[in-house]
Amino acid sequence: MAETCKNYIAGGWVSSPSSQLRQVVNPATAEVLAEVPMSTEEEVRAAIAAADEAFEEWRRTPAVSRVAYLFRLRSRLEEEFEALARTITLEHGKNLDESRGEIRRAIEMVEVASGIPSLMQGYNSEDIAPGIDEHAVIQPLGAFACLAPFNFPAMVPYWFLPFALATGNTYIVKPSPIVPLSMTRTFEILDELDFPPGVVNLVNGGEEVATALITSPKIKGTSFVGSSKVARIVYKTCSATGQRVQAQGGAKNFLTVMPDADLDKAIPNMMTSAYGCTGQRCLSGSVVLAVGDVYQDLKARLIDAASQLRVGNGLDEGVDVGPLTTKEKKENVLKWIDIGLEEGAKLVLDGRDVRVDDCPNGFFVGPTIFDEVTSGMRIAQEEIFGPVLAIVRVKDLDEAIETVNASRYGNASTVYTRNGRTAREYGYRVDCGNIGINVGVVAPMAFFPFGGHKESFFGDLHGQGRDVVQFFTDRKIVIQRWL
Amino acid sequence: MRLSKFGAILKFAMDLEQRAIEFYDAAAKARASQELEDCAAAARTRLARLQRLRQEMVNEMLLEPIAGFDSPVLPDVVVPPQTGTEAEEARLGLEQARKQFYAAASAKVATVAPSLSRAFRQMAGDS
Repeated sequence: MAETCKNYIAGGWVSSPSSQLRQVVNPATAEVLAEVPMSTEEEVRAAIAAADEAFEEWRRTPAVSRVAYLFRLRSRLEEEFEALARTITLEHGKNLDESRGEIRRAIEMVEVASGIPSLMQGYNSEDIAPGIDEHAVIQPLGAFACLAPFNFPAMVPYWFLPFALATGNTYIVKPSPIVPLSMTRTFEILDELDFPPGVVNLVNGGEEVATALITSPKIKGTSFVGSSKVARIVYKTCSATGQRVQAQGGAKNFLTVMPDADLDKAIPNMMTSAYGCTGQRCLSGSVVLAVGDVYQDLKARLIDAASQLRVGNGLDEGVDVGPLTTKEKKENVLKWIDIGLEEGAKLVLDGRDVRVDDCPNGFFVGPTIFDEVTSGMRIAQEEIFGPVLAIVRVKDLDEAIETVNASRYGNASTVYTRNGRTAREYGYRVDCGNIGINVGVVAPMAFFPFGGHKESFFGDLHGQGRDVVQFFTDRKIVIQRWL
Repeated sequence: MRLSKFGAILKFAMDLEQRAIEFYDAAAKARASQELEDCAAAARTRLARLQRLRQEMVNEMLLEPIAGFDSPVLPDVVVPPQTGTEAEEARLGLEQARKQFYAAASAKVATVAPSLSRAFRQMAGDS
């Protein structure tokens, strides 16, 4: 019988009384790995109470002592590196190296958050008037929450959690119920580190848990990553509750290929952008804008390179493209392929019938390419979140930029070129949160903010970097005169 | 086994060194050989270096597929050798596989990860 995931509240593991359970499935084999409870509102209230109660002691813990926990967390993550990567691959499907990259990113967040003693220093001015000094003090706020997505089960909570803890806040993570095992393992590690009870909490579940968190006035802020539809709801609800909010939404990322691009280097880069993590990244390139006469050569090379990618169980070191994470997500991708055909696009590489001999029940879709796509088609506008690439022809750089900027999304976009002026124009004019110049997966490092524009992000302060430090803190002004 | 990513290559290298440590430790104990003890110590040093490279050089951020690179088939050396000749043959087989692997890996990653390539090249020359 599959094990049931537990919640971690007030420094201890607790079984949920909920009778509503969801199966956690290995997408490569369709085997059940575990069950996850849809926790109740009461359990969320218990977690919020624990986080709220732990806050006062934790904020008074010196920053250098708080980050000492993070130093030990980093060491444990390094020790568990391969095991954590395997857990991600088992429950999500992405290949092992993509999982390793995810853990590496998580560790990077912990390292950057360990600089909090410097990062959250305030500032002051002496003698703003005779004998009067003014100080800006940076302070934590209380309990925060994270509503994590399925596509990066380990990394995304780390965009926030180490920064929240380092700045003196307490935290509640709600993992995606599709992939709860990576966070369960993470919290087993956090449990070893002896955080004061209530500083870190884990509540499994679905919409009910999320709603309880974002409607609680005791939660000072929520970080969300998911679809734009839900991001908008989270943004509105948190705002109405009086919470801070950073809600990252969907994406439709354009890869613009100029006639002067170095295709020998660009093509492998575009392969990992479009098909890495089976296209289930908010930074995945999903539309190629072929500028001018690069089209024929580019199309032939894309098809050739994508055809050579090996589809299979992500635990096999030689696999490039793993399965979609659920059967429903596979069906959704297949639906989008049908839509592309109905719209009149030409399917020049069809991944629908891919077979993986040793995993006959896996949720696989092979690399797929549509040609003769126009920018008005839905497959060029809507997020597919799968290994499907659409080729759109444009006449020049201006048309490429207009096409990118016409999208309702603005998470990332890349230009492949050898021309500095083209690169600068692209970076200057394209309305996206992350711009790549010959870089197809524009994932900012932990010391830079990460967030999109337009409907890819709802909020003000992005994740990571200085933004997230500001998100988790407030400035207090102290003006003093000693008479 | 196809090694198509940086992480896969690093993981294979670490497994290889771990296997070497286990063999040399067992062989040194069975043969009371200082030379084999030295080999175990060298493998430990290489393993520690690989772990450090993985942590510090963020090669796992480079996700482009690496084409045409298969891991070598390692000789079966887990059983401690019974004679000096067996020990020497096993040691030579393991060292040859190790050096060939590092030389080939160094060439494969030379363009994209020069520092990793340099480390592999040094490990290929290490004896």
